[in-house]
Amino acid sequence: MAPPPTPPDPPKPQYKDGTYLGWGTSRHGDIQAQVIIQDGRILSATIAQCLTRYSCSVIAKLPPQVAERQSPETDYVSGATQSTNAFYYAVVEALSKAK
Amino acid sequence: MTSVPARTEVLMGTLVTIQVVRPGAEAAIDRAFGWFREIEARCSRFDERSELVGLTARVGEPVPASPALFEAVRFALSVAEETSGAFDPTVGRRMETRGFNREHRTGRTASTPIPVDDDVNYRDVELDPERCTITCRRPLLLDLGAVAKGLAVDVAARELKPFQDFAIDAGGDLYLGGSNPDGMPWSVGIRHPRNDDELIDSLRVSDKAVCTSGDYERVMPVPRQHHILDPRTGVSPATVASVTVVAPTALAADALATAAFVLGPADGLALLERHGVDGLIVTTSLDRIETSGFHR
Repeated sequence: MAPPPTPPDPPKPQYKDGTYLGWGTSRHGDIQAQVIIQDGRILSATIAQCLTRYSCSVIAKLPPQVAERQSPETDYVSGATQSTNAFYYAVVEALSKAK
Repeated sequence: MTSVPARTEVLMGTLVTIQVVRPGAEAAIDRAFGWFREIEARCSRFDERSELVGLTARVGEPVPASPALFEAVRFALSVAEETSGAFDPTVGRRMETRGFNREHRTGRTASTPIPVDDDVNYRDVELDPERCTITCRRPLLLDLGAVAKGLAVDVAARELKPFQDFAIDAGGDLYLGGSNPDGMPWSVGIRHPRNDDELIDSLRVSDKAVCTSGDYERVMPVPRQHHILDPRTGVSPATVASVTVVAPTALAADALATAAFVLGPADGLALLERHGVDGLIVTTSLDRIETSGFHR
């Protein structure tokens, strides 16, 4: 597949700058995400509160940790989780407030 | 570990994160995210304005396709051919009737008005590589879920190649270029298919894609049914809990992981070996079956 000379959809700032919170639900419980928007883009998306039956130690690695890493051993995790879905919905809710 | 900025966006029903180890890649990262948007717009079966949905609305005539859509369909059909339909992109309508019809971002449900025969399969889709056209011989709904995300990861990776050391994470579908900020090959954990809290393994990889298909994602309310269907039987396979594939491209890793999942442990392993890719198959009884080069 030939790459086009220019990106088809140049990204423009989608969101208002600030810090936003949102909740997401999974069968394991609820997760609150904190999303920081800078220059109209998501700078970080992290777990603010974790009310799941299991600890969030694994998924804590999944949201990108901008300034720090939760685990020195693992950079990324392959395979999504239910809890990741809850995190995803939490981020979507937080982002809906940033529009 | 040093502080390295990463950027995340919500795309293709998941969170996409791009991290480039050295500074100065902002414009390339913008282009990489642009590719995710472009491929999502072309290949989504949830958006009635997508090129994919437009294509399947025209039955029996060759429809010109964008390079992105053509490549996604071409690859999906080649894996379907090779697995004798264990992997089949025409499974879309059956997915929809089983409730996998919600667009993640908007929560809107999709329902296709066209009647679709139960015996529709990948042989009902015809490609013309010279004219770059796709013909659906019968009414059908293509599901490119297993290839579109992989394709987007690969095209994004191509944008970032000049920067050598980078990571792309599209909801657990990964491409790791070069080295991590510590100058080591990237460390990738593989999620345990039964315990959210555990990793079942971890790998060191460089310039490779790592994708995992599991029965734990988007579980159906019906017992033992999940989002991966055996197109030949219409039910979810029960012997495999997850398949992780390490391959040169995310397109191959994602499609082969899904196909191996459907084929089961023995045939799945043979498929991976035949393609010269490495992988780990975890069965529902948590037995591990891996290719000989998995930990090399």
